[in-house]
Amino acid sequence: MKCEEPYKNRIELLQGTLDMLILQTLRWGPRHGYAIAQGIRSGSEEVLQVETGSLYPALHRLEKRGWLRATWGTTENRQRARFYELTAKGKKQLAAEQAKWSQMVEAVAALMSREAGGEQV
Amino acid sequence: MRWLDLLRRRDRELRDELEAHLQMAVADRMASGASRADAEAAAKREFGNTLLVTETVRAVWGRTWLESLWGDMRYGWRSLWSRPGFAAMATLALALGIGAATTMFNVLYGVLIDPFPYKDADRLVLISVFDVDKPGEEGRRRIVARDEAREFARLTDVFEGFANSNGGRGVLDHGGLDYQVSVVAVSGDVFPFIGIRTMLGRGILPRDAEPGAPPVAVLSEGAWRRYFAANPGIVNRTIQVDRQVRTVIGVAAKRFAWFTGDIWIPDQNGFVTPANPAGLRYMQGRLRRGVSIARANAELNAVGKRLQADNPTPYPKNMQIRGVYCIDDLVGPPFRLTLYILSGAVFMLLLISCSNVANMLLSRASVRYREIGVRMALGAGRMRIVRQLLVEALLLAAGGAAMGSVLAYGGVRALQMVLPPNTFADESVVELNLPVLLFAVGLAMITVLLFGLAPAWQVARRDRIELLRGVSRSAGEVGRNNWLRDIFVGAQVAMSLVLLVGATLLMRSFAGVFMADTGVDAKSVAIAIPFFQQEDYRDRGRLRQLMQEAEIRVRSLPGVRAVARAGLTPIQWGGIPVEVGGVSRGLQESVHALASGDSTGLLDAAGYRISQGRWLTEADVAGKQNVAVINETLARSLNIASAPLGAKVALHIGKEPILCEIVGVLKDAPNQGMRLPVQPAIHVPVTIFPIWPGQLVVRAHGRAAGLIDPLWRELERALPNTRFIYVKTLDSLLESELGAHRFALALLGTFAMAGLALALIGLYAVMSYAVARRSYEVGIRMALGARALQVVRLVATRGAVIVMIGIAAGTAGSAAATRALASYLGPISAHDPLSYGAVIAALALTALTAILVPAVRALRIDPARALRHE
Repeated sequence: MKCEEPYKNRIELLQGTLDMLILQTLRWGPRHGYAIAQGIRSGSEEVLQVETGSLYPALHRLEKRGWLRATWGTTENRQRARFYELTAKGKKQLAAEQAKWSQMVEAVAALMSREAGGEQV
Repeated sequence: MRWLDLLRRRDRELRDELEAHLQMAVADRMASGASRADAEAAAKREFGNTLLVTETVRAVWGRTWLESLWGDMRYGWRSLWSRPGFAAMATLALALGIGAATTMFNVLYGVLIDPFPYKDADRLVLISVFDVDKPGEEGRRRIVARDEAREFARLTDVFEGFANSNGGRGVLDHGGLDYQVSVVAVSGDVFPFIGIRTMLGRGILPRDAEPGAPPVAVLSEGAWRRYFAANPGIVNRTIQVDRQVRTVIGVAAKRFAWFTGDIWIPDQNGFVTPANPAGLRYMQGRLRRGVSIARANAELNAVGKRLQADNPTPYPKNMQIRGVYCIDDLVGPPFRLTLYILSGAVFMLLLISCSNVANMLLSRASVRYREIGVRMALGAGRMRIVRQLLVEALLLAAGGAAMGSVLAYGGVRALQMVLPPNTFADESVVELNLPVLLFAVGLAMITVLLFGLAPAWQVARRDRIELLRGVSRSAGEVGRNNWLRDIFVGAQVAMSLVLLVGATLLMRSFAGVFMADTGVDAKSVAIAIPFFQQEDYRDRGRLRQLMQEAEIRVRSLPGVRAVARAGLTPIQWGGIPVEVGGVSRGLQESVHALASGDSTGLLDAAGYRISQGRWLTEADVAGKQNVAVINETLARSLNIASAPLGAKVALHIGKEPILCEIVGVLKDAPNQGMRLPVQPAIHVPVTIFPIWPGQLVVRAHGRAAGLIDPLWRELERALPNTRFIYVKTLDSLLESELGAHRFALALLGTFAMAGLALALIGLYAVMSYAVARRSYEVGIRMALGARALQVVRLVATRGAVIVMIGIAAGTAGSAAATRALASYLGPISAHDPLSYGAVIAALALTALTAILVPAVRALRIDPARALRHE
């Protein structure tokens, strides 16, 4: 995954988190691919940048797994676009991922703070 | 191709989706103040490589089985296309086999297996009286009299029911015109008995057959179309049949052709008419389910014995009463045998074509190991390879099946046109029969799949390194499955030989029939048979007078060379058998002969040739002289061939034998049709042995065809009030007799050619591959200085040996197979050396071509290229 400028304060997404972020973004209702990318970017205060080369394969992968459903619709600007929404299976998956994520965040945070402390000793 | 649409749609949608993303990104940037050009450039840069994105997304969905099938098909197509010769030959071979087999089995099915639309037609028998002392049909009486029918009808424990019918010619008077039609009188129970359906109205019921019931008629579908323009309102209208007004009560369903009737009428009088005082009729019975024909025959015979004891006169000494299956009757033994022989030939053809294709596939397999090795080395799984080969085989089979179906359709259409009339049931229809087609296609498919997968089967047992190393380099290395190919080639040659020998023998015997001397000049002879009103037959003196006058009037017609009254038709007498006993010179035994009462002109009119003595003179005929002219066969049978003239014979006609002096002997000429041996025959003056109504034999100066019309018109004037007059040229009668032969001849010829073509295709294909496989070896040999002849010998020897073994096996097989044909071949021996020689020569020549062409091509191999190839 290449990380190009223009914003220097961006970081790469952790492996496996993109799926969760997409599901999370769609919690508020159906959105098209561009809106999802924008949602992740603005939701993370411009820190997380999603490459289209990762976004669309991920969307289709989730659709194939049955977590998302896609329909064609029009945006407020009369642009025809493919809208994704969560399926029941997708919602369940999101809940599971969230639980796993908080566990991981806690574990990583604990580990990182101890190591940081150890260094100080 | 819906799944293809699906694939294309997914691609299109993805493109649209990504395009929408780009558009929105551009719109956003323009909204925050960028120019369109800047916005587009920035959006594109941010988006990255569209193609890469598309590919990645596609990979997410993966290739569906449909997509890979499509891929396999394209690959298979390219692979076949890369060797168009192979594809064309294999397809052609399959198509020939499928087409020919299907066509022939369709004829068999329509004519032999399911010809009748009648209920339980397979249990219908015609009750016939046989004279055991006479062979076959000659000793058979197909009709039974009213009294006999009454007795047989009591056998209800073996028969479910009976049908009595009597067909005859009649006249339909319609719209001021008379039409010759076939009017069949049936007993009241016939329609329910055979389970006939009507298209309009109802069939004949028992109550219509009660005496005094109103006269009714049922029309055939054909007559309804022809004479009444398929008028749906025909029911309850009246028509005039044989001068009697009848109400039409129904129109029979298609294919219903009981006794070839145009019109069926109920019989109300036990079939008794002035012309048929005994009430003769055809009587059919349907065997009860589970009752054997043998048991039914035993019961019939018991009744027969009783009848004979009561009144022995109408019965032969050694009598047997038997039911003959209707199917056997309508499809006579000769034509039936022809069909069986043809179907045997055709099945062989199908086998040849299948083995042909199998062989081509095997040959092809041997040069594909390398390709398969490469694919496996690149990571293709075994199943993947098998599937690919399967798809390729299916493509091939589908091509062959499609082309074969087209051939079968064309073949059936062509056969419908050349099927001879009067050789099988009128009810039978020959049409493309789907199960039959599926059978042939199925067999071909199985062959192709079985042998198309041969490479996969071989590969499964091989190391892929070995495959890669190039097993195609020389023949020896892959020689392990060569024996299978060789067997196929040999078997094919052998089968083709059997097919060709059988066909040639039959063709030779058929051709003999066509070329045989008819004894008369058939092209210039016409016959005319008048059918009088029923009541006219009572006054025979008047009939004789009428016929005599008719003879005189026809004689003065322009173009007529000679005319005569005759008892029977030349060539096809059919015949009234009589007993002829020699009374002088000690001959005691009487012999059977065909008798005819003729007038003086017949010698010239029929073109008979005198071998001794003279023909009947005017004085003989007018003076009712007891004289006779016999044919050479009868002279031999009576044992008076050395000095026949002056001998006296007793002619047993009626109660008192007539003593006739032999005044002349005719050269033998066919009198039982062209295919049966000449029967003993005797001609006497028409005045002492009249046959009613008799017929006129007319000889034209040129061809008789032009005489038919004036002859018919003149007779209509000379013989007013006849029901109708049947006028035909002898030539056309012969044509309908020999039609079946012509048909068989044409078919056999076609199959023989198809067999030869297949053999050629098969050998050529196999030899071509053998050469292609050995090009490396040939290259080396030529580089080392081998001469052309040596190279040809190297390549051709193996093929030649196989062909020779095949020919030997085929000759032996033919000798065995044609023994079954012997009875059908007539004068041609089943081991006719000429036929064998010609076929073996033709096949050997064909094989030589198929072997030498690729062998000579091997000479053009460039040693440098062949070696560099490795």
